[in-house]
Amino acid sequence: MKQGERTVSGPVVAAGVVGALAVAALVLRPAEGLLHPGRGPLGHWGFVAIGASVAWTAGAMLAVDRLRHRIGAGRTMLPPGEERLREAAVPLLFTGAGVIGVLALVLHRFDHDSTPPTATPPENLPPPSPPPGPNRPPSEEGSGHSLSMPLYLLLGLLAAVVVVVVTVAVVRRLRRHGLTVPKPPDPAGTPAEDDDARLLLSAVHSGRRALADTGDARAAVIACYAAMEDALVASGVQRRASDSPSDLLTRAAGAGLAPTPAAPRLTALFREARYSSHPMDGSHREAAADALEEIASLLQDREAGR
Amino acid sequence: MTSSSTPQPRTAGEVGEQAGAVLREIGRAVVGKSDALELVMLAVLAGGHVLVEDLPGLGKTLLARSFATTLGLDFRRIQFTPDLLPSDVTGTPLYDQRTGEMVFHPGPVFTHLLLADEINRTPPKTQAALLEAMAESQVTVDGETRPLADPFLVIATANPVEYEGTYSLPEAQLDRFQLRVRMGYLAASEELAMLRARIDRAAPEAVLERLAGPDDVVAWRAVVERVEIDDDLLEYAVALVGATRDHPQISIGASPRGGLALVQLARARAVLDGRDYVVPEDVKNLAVPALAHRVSLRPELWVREMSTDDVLREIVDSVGTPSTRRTAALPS
Repeated sequence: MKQGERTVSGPVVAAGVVGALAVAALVLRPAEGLLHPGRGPLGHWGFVAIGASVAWTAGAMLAVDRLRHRIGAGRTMLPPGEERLREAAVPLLFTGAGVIGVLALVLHRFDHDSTPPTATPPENLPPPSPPPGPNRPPSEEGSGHSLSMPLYLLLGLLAAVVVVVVTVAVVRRLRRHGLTVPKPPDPAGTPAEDDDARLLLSAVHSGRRALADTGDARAAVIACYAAMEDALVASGVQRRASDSPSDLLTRAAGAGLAPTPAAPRLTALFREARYSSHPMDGSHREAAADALEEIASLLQDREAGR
Repeated sequence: MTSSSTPQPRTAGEVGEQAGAVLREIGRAVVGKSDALELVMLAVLAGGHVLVEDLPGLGKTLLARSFATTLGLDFRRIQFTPDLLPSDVTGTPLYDQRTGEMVFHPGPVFTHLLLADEINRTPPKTQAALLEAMAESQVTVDGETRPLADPFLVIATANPVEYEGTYSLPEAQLDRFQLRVRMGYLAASEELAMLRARIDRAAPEAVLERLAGPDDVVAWRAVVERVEIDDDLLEYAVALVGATRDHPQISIGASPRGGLALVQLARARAVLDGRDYVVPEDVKNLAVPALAHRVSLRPELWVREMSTDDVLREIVDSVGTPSTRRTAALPS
């Protein structure tokens, strides 16, 4: 169990289970068959059925969230056959627990009359009505129309919440597996391009400033390379955390942004400055500055040609 | 360029040139396998052992013999079979009737370059006979420890375990190989060039020239030991090794020995390129050959036919390289 999670004591769980069973018994009518859409004393109130279903589904999701870590913990010891069985059974069990709440709501017979039953003498009961058929008069359904509207609104709202929750869960799972969710396209390309050009200029300026400010040749070479990196990124080259300098260079060359030897030259200088203790002097600094200027002018020409 | 007549190289640039010449010479015999040849050369420079794993007929044995010839190393070969005994590898004491004493007869392991051909065709007991030799460059027989030659290099070839009549190598032995090399099939153009070269030379194999000797190899290794590596790169190597231990698809991650091998191979890579310092590419590009054979996948992934190489590539693509600006303290 994760740190910080509260543990629920056994008596509380037992009391919760007994309470849930009591509500279920009051909602259902035990005298009727399993598939009969019966209802008990509480079954007349639709909000009780809806609330119980929502509570069940939420409880099932909470239980799934807590149990998933425990079930996955000891699977290294399982032989391959049992592992495959586990992979098939666990999602079914978890999904089944959630589906029960939805089914309970769908199969519930909502009554148009939400008043509780009153004790009427047997002689006042209406005569048995014929079974519902295609020729059933519409007046029977229309009697409780005003009362059923909020109920359907509630059901619609519930369905919308379920759709939102499922969508959020799917998106989170996709992101966890490294898949990207498509972004909506930019409404217009001009502002983004302006931003890129501004970023590019800013990167080049920062490199020049670093060259002017610092007296340390090693730091100047590293600053030039960092400026080139930023400029390439501003020009649309993707940079990842796992990139080595070669990876970025390869990607820039693939995008046509490193056609001259300036970028490889600056990368080689950077590697030496960053990862060796070789003494770096003014010649290294000038070579890095020249390479940066060459790259900057190339990228600026490209931006201007867009 | 042999050891006796030329002075020992002392700079990374010189060693890089010599090692490059050796690779070009071997490339005349082993066509189209420059990546595999480079990896074996890295193990030679880093003082490790190589496991060449692939299907039969892809030139594994030729590769090992070519290295022995070009580097001027003593070469012995053991063809591992199911009935091979540990004493067939290490040697055994025999009774000498003339002197009345037990005399040790060294086994094929007493050489510079040992080709352990099809090592996974012999049971683990005999495979384990190589353990001490590979880890400590010595063997102990009848309570007496005998040092092996310097340099001592094992190039073991193995067919994939799904082939009939093979035994999986124990994890302990796999861990003692510094890297694993896969040969793979040649591209059509390379295969055509190989056939053309065979016809042109009118001989089964190319005759290679000796370009170095055992002393050269020892000197090269000394140069590798002087290669510097930044603390940020050491942290990167540790992060890669640690990621194999935390990955959900891996049941047993890489050992600390894996981290040592990765760093040493990265230093050898630097020397092969003529540098005396390691760069991130050295570590990143060698993570798969140095670590993939040291990890075990979860059983469910065997069914999906995922390889450790695939998982390691995924790890390499997810672990961040050192930042552009230095975060660790400058070396004093």
